[in-house]
Formats: sequence, structure tokens, C-alpha cells
Amino acid sequence: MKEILIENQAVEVHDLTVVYDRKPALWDIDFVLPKGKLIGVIGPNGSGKSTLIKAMMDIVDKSSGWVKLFGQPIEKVRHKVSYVPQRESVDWDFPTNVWDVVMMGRYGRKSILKRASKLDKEIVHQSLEKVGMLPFKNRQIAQLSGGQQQRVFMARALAEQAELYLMDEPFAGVDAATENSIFEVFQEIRDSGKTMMVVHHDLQSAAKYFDWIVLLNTRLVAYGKIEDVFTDEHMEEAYGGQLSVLNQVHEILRQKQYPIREKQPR
Amino acid sequence: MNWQETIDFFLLRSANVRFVVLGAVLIGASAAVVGCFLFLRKRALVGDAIAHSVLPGVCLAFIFFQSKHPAILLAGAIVTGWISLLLINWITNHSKIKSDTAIGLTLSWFFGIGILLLTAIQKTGNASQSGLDKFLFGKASSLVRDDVILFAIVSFCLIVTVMVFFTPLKLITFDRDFAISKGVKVGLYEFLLSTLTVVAVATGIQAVGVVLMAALLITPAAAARFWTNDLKKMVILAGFFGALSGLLGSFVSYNIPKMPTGPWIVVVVSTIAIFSFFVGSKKGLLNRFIKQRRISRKILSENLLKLFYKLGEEEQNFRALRTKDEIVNRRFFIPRELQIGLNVLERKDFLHQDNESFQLTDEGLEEGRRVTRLHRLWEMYLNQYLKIAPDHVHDDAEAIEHIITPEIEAELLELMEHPEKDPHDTVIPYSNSELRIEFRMVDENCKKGEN
Repeated sequence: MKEILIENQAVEVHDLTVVYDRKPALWDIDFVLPKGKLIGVIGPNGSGKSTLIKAMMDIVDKSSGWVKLFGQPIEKVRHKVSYVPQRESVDWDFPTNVWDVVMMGRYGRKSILKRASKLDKEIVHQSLEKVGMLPFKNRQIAQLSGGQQQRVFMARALAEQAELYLMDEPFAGVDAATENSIFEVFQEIRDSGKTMMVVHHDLQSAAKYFDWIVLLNTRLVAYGKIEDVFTDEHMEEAYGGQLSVLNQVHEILRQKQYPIREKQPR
Repeated sequence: MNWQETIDFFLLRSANVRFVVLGAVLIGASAAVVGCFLFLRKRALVGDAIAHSVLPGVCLAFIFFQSKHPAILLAGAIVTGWISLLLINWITNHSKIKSDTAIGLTLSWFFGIGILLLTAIQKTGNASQSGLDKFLFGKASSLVRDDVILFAIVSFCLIVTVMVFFTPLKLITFDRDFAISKGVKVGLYEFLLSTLTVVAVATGIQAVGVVLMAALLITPAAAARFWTNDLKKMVILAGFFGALSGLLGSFVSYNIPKMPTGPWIVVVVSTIAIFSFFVGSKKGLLNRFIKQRRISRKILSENLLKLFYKLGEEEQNFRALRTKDEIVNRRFFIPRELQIGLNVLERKDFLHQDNESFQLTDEGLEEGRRVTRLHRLWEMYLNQYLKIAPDHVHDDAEAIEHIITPEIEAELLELMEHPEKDPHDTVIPYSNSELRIEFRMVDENCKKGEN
């Protein structure tokens, strides 16, 4: 794959490999993404889309490779990066309300032990307003619809006031109205010069929503401007079934319990 | 036991009673507070495994130090409690065994060793060993001053720690991945929570015993969950339930000399939980039952009004007096329910009773018309937008007509532009013709406003 030269780099992923139970979830992923774009992460089920952003946030361990955000390792720039997990990843029966969840966006490593400041409250208020959830601020989260749950997560992300947003399937299982309003928020964020990476499963709407695409199928199929990536050839490569030799190698690794990378001498 | 003794106990007249009660209450409260997080992390069984795994620690500490000093036994308990926790995690991470099996294995293995050691100690005939068996089922009344001071300090520290770190503990329990993404030291807080659990268990076994300790950790949290949807309130309430069961358990233990405390604490806390399960204000069964009954009453009375309206429509006489037989002939109602429904409607002034016959009032007519309208509007909607054949829309509309809000009704009206007739070609009744025109004008004004 040809290298793309990008000046204003937001994300640089270098030779990233992630393994679950000895089976590769991501294999040698390598790309660079520019600032200020709405970037879709697309690929079939089980192609490692969620794993990619989790590895970028250091939520899952990398087997090899590294990630730089704004030219720095994630630990140095966490305050500039917002991560939105999949809606189903949390227990919505948890005893808390909308306001408290959005307030979590204001936590940092140290500030989590402090009381919320007036500014924090102001920001939470504005974030709820932006996604149209202000009337529900005292609502128990168990009483929210799927679309409202996603709006709450969106408000929490807004409250983080980040430079880079990594979102895992924000459009999954939401109604059309919520989908539209979330997309509007995305555009607003992008137009203010911030960068968004969004895991998305639907090809049709992807073409409508994103400026850039990262196309995955365990390995990186293509990345770049949407018009360059959405070609028949790439689609066939990503969705036309997995590469059988690569698959066989993965299976052998798993069954025989071989390591996917040899240990580097130190 | 007589009333005087009971009163003396609850007024904490004797110094000894004061120690026992204070110890049991603090132990109960702190275990319950820590247990809330285990409960919400769905790790309830881990609490049980730790509880059983502290027994060998207590025995080993006694064998090595030949002392029953509470601090020594507590330390021993904490050590093996922690080892069991690490073992469970290790087995789950490094083998194909799933966590439920790993918990079961560890629990029985450690408990077995514990019983073995306990029996061996008792066989030695060492006089100072007597009383070690109280760790099995707990004996709050055997707490002495030194024990209580230590346990009170430990329990107090547990509660304060949870208060100080409440926000991060809440965050990692609700959304662990997000916490990591924010740079919160999730590993550190998980370690803290595990330590709190082990320490709470190690202290709690004095009062409840290893066998029933899990009940004191988890049951108050489960009971509290039925009463509130707020974590802070839930923790406070669970602490209160734990303290209450500690108090009552030690009361029994104090007054009936041979009686172990553990089972009594568990009986009390379980009674609270069962009570909460039925009458809890947030998720209790009684609450649900009342809601369900209210709903079925509403459905019943709306169906009756609709029937009155339909009969009136057919006969072109909405105010006719109708007997129960007339009603049942048209649509079957269970006689008892029919009577209830008619009573409700009469009380609400929707129906007027004359001898054994009933007649619609103005309000009743309007309400009957509304339900009929919603029924037919929904049939129309199903037919037009979901392409369901006219002979298949009735049953759906029967159910949906009861839940359509005025907002949805307005939306339906706008969407279908105030249809005149339903899929069966029956007229959809509007309140009156003037109102319909008003509706339209309001709509048009709204549209103008938007432009």
C-alpha cells in the first residue's frame, strides 16, 4: 500500500498488532490520519474496528507496534482525547442519573478526587443542551431509550472538550432522529478543527458521513480520502471474505499456542 | 429473657453489651458498604470465595504464633483471602476455565484446608485454642474489648476509604474502559477495592463466620437496590441494613448463650431483603403489581367506554340506557371485572347509573369517542404505513389505543392529514367539526411559523 504524506498529523499508528487468545485481532496496521477530519473506521464484523480504537487508548494490550496521537504517546495526551465506548458495554441498570454520567467527562487522573467546579457544571450543562438531553438531566439512566443513552454518551464526550474523539459505533441501534442529531454534532466538532475517528458498520451511510476512511479486515485494506478508498477493488478485498492463507496461519497460531511475535532481545 | 433485659440491651446499659453491639454494628455496616460495589460489579460470588478462604489463614496464624490476638488472626485471614483472589484471577486468565468454575474450585479448596487445620488444632488439646471454631458461624457475644477496638477502627477505616474514593470506585464500576481512557488508575482502584473486600471479610467473620459472610456482603446491597436508583443512597441504605442486622444478630447471640450470631444476622438481613423484594419502592414486586393493576383497570374502563360509544354509533343514540346483559352480549367481559369497570367509570362520572342500567355522561361520551378515534387512527396508520391488510389491523389497535399519548395522536393526525375514515370504511370520530377545523388552522399556523 502506498504511503500517504500528511502534514497536520493527528494520529499515527505504526505496525500495530493485537492478539486475543493468540488469535490476531489486528495485524500490522500502519496509517497516518490528518487533523480536522471526520474519519470512518469501516470493515466487516470481527474485523478489529473496536479493537483498533481500544488499542489506541491503551485499553487493550498491543502485541507490537506503537501509536502516537498529536506526535505523542497516549499517556501524555489523554486530556486531549475522548473515547466513547459501545453503548452496550455498560450496564444501563446502574444506579445513577444522566447528569452524573455526563459529569464523568470532566474527570481526569487527579481531578476525579475533587469536587466539581462551577466551570465543570457549566460545561456539563452546555453539553447536555447540545445533544438535547437537558430536560432529562435528572432522569435515571435505566429509564432512557437506546437513542437517549447514546446522546448521553455523546454529551459526556462533549464535556471532555477534547481535540480528538474516538467513537465506537455511536450509530448502533439508535433511531433516525438521534442519528441525524449525532451527525450534526459530529460536523460541528469537525468544523471547529477537531478530529473524529468513528467506528461504523453501515457502508451506505458511511459514504454520506465521512471525509476519510480506514478500511479494515484484521489487516488494513486501505485508508485515505473516501473517494480513494471506496473503490470496488477495496470493497471486494475487505468484504469478499478473508484471505484463506492468512486465516490458516492465524488458526495454526491459536491451536499450537505459538507467539505471534518473537520476543525481542533487550 | 424478659422485657427489662431487652430494654437494658437496647439502651446499652452494660459496658459489655456496648462493645458487642458497637462491634457487630460497625462490622455489618462496613461489609455492606463495600459489598455494594461487589454487587454492582456482578462479583458477588467472589465475596463468598474470599470468605471461605480466610479460614486457613486464621488457623495458620494461630499455629505459627500460638496466640488468639485479634490482630494476628486478622492478618492471617487477610493473607489467605488475598491469595484466593489472586488464584481466581490467575486461573481465569491462564486457563480455559471460566470464572464461575475458578471461584468454585478456589472456595472449596481453601475451605477444605481450613477445616483440616481447624480439626488438627482442636485435636492437639491446646487449651488456648478453644473458641477458634466460632469463626465458622460467628459469635458476636464473645467479642471482648480489645477485639472490638480493633474491629471498630478497621471498619471505620473501610467506610471512610469508600467515602473518599467514592467517585473513582463508581466510575470503574460503571464504565471501566472509559475510566482507563481518562487516565484514571483503574488497576490501582481495583486493587483498593479488592483489599477493602478482603479486609471487610476478615473482620466480618468474627461476627458472622466464614460460612455466611457472603450474605453480609451482598444481601444488604441487593435489598437496598430495591429502594433507590442512586448509588450514594444505595450505599448508605445498605450500610444501615447491615448495621441493623448486626445489632439484632448480636442481641440474639448475647441473650441465648449457645446461639451462633451468623445465622441470626443472615436471617435478619434476608428478611429485610425479602421484604424489599416485595415492597421496595423502585423495583419491588408490589409496586409492579400495583402498576399492572392500574394499567389493567385503565384498559378495562377504556374498552367499556369504547363499547358504549360503538353501540351508540350503531343505534344513533349515544345516551341510551344499557343493561349489563346488553353489554356482555356485544362483547364478553368477566362478570366480576365488568362490575369493577362500571364502578370505576361511575366514580369518574363517565357513566350514570339508573337502576340496573348505565348511560354515558358528557365526559364519558367524549372519552369513548377519543378511544374509538385512537383505535381507528392506529388501524389507518398500520394500513397506510406498515402496509398491513385491513382485516389484520384490529388486534394490534386494540392494544395500542390505550397507550397513544396526545402528542402521538397529534403526530398521527398531521401525518395522515386528519383521515375521514378507517380501513374498514367506518367514520373516524372527531370531537366535533369546529374543533377539527381549529386543528387544521393550528397546524397551518405552525407550519407558517416554521417557515
